[in-house]
Amino acid sequence: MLEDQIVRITSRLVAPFIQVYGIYVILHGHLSPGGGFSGGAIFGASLVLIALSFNLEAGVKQISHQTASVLESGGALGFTVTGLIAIALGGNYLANRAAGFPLGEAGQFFSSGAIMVITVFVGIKVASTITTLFYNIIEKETPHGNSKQAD
Amino acid sequence: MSYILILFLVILAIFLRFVIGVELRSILTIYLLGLIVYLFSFTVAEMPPFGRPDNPAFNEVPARYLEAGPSETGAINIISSVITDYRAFDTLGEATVLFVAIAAAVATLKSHRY
Amino acid sequence: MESAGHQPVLIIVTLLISAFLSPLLYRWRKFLSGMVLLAALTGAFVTALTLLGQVARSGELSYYLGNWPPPWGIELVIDPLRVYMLLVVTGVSLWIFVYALRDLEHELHHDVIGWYYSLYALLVASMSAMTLTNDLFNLFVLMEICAISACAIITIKDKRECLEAGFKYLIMSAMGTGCFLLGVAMIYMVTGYLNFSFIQTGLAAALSEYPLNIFTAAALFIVAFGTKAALFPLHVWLPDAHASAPSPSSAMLSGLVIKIYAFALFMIFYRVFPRSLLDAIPLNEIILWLGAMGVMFGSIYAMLQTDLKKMLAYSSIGQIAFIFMGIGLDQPLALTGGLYHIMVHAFTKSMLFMSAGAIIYSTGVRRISDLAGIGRVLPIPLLAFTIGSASMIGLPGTGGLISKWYLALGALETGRIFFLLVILASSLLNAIYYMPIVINAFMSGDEFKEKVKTVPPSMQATLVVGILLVVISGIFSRQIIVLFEQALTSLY
Repeated sequence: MLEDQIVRITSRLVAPFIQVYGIYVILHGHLSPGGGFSGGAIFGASLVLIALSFNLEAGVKQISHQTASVLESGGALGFTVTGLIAIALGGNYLANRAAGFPLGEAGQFFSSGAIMVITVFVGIKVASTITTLFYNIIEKETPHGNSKQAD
Repeated sequence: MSYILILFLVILAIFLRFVIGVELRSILTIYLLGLIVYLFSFTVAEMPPFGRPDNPAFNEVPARYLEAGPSETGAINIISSVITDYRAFDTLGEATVLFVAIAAAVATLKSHRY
Repeated sequence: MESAGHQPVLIIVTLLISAFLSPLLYRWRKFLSGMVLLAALTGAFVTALTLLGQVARSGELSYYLGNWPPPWGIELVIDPLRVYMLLVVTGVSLWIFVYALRDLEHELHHDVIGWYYSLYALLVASMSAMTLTNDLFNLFVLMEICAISACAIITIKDKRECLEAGFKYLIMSAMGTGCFLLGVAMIYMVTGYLNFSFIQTGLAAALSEYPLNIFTAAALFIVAFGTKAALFPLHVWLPDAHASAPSPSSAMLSGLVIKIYAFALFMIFYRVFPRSLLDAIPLNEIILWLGAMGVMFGSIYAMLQTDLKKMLAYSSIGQIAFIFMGIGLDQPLALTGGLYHIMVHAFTKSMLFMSAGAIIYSTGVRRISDLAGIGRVLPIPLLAFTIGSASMIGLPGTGGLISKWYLALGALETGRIFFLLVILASSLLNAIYYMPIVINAFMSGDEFKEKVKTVPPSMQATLVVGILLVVISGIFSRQIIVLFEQALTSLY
């Protein structure tokens, strides 16, 4: 990990803005360019930035292993369950208007029914994927199963 | 013309093999790749020109996405309406690809750590 | 076309949900995670059976995902051939999973078994969806899932050679997926559709204007599916991958994963390509010759192996080539043989790998020459191996005879005597390398020397089920053949 004061201060300053921007991109997926995949990648990158410029523990403090893997499965599960809700509402799998999700007025923030829900779940999924992958690659585990930070 | 080309290629191969000392296998690979590029170039030349309005790809499919998209899905971002509504199952597949990638990476890293 | 109920999509979604849950569940309750997947697989198989009933009643059905009709949305189609393949996929994976529940404990580290369950469920989900989908891009997405999870169930074993084999497989199958995507792009460019049925009409019209694009796409599809299904010159990844994997993975990979791509190629040939394209360029002829070479070379390579699992893996190259020969002969009887061989070989090769797994589980022996006299200590695994060998050779009373019989009839019908000889020669070669193992195992005078651990009852039971399946597929084949005949007449 980097032991540099400038890098640390800069990334500490920048990280919250990156996270807010990531959330913005996810939530405005149905209104502007972007969406779950790009927004999730932006959010995940901020966590990677923190883990890189401080150390792994600081990154883990933001999102622990356990949380990351729950979010991982949760994002994908949320997506599939959204599809199943459409069936419960009388449409086919992953239906939106046909299942009666409220579409709202096109162009408003709360519009497009299931699209917004799916985008949020995809965003969660992508962000946790990037974090989990990064954690798993940089850390080493001892034979006793304790997590240990790589040098 | 083509005889000259073949003669040139044969001489080049002999030169590469015996003067420079490239392996025969590599020379054959390069020639084969060259042949594939040569054949593909005809295919590329035949492709419908980019952006021409009467291309086969501009049929009723994108027309409906563009015209009825906002009213049918409620999203003014057409890409969003295609990937998360019209073809949402593909996106579910892509999200699953991410999950598989993680599962594969974690499983492999974990089992080879001991 | 009538609309189906929600069953087809529920099969896929149930498996996906159990895949997403099993890593979490495994951390919480180890036992429960396996049981959830077992329940999901059983549910998928039973649902597939109900689909069979529906198709028998009302013919071809379709399901519009998200209520968007094709060509705008993605369509699942349920017809007799797809339901047959779906039944093979869900049934065989359920059967292998019962075996895997016990076998994995000794082959894998206990930490990763939860992930194995997850990958297994994703593999089955993607394969089930691949049988049903009627959309070319959706097929690509599912192929990605299938390719990565198939790789991961090899590399999950903590052996160095598994990493090597898995990496080789990953590169080759990524290349195959790439070729497929390029082909899809070309097809989309000249037709503007992704739905199989729309492409078929679109291609027939575009054939005169963009012939080279379509030919290139066809070539790319053959390379893509050939690589993934281990068609002869593209088979190099298969022996290492299938031999080094844990036994349930080997059974899964050899039994189902390579078949699903052969089935996908069949779908592309007869549901995506119009007849005029198949008449314009000799696509079937290429597949036929590659298949014939695969049949011969697969058997010859298998004869040279000393490792039991490696021999079975090479034998898979020969057997998958039979399915391609069925497509290549382009004739209803041969296609019947090829499609029937998908099921027969799924049963047989999975059973052979599982009995090899049982032998390795209880004795640790992998070399063929060390198997002398093992039949007396491990009667059920070796009986399964014997029946499996008989089916591979094509002896009467096993499923192998039926598929080879129909392939041979197809070859006669088209007047290609040479390919009839290829089929016969390969049966002979199969006999040459399978029979000595069986004879050696039962008849050899030597006592078996190694220490023997008892094979768990659940593993023995799956092998007995396998014996029954192979024999039943050899005796009661009429129903399925009739189903094929009805389905295949619509293609010509």
